[in-house]
Amino acid sequence: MSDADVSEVRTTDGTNLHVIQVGDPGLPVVLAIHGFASSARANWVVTGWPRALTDAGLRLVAFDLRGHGASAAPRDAAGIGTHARDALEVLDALGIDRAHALGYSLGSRIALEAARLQPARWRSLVLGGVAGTDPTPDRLVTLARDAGVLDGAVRAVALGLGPGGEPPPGPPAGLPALAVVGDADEVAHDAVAWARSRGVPSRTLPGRTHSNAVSARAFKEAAIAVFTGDALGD
Amino acid sequence: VAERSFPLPDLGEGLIDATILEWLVSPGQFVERNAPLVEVETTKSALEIPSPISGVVKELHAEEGQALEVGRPLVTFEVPDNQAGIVGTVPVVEEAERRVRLSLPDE
Repeated sequence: MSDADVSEVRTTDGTNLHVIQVGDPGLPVVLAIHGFASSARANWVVTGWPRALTDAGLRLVAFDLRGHGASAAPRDAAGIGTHARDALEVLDALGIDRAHALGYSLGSRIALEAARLQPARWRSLVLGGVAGTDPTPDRLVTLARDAGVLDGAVRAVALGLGPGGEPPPGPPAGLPALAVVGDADEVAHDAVAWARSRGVPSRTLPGRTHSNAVSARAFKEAAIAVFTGDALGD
Repeated sequence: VAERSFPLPDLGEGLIDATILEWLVSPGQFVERNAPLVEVETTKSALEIPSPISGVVKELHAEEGQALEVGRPLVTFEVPDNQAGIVGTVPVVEEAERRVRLSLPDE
């Protein structure tokens, strides 16, 4: 694995976010946004993304969402908008004008919101495992319980993400985007239908589930093709 | 040419086994140290394991979809004899040095 620089970014509301950077500062940035109840390390680092991205001439910046990993867990409920503003503030703090976004699950939903808030900041969006309907807090709590990761902090994050039940917005017009999902994904089973309804091309990963699609070589290759400007989708 | 085998490494968090998701190398292929070797899945997460050495892959000891216990053979490489020799002697040299230092005060 490539060496990672670790730092803290303090947001304007005083929340410390844990940030991991891998790759030459001069290279195009991929801001990676992890999924619910995960972390930058679990979602992106141990799954082999640093090596894949740096080999492709890209720089990885990943952060722990508030309430996750080594980031602070403020008492106030954080909705999608708060997490999206955190993503933008990480770019601000690191002096990054524009970046590609790489999301997984909740991270994809946050990437879509960050793109809605500031479309000009983004070069492209790769939306891994994005559910076609925003999960409700109850659904998120159930998913975390089934995965054996439910605790007070995770429950608080889930409650902040309400109300859910609506399809995520599409990406801003003109922004290259790709949805990637395992064809055995039990959480984002409607990702392809959602992508089609929003005019977003999609790529399916044979045999992959919601939990094991993140490390797939085909996911990395599809994402890198978008980030480096090659063909999109199936 | 010598052979070196590597077991499925300790994946932390008290995990005792992992399922092979996808091999990223094939027998006969040269692999650089730290290049992607295999993707595995545990009860906690999916992981990509990098190659522990540079060498030609001789044998993959588990099939995709198969569960493997930590410590069981994962992969065997072919490495040049001279490289195998160097790797093999390193611990002996370290032990010898340690023994010399420990014996000094008594002499």
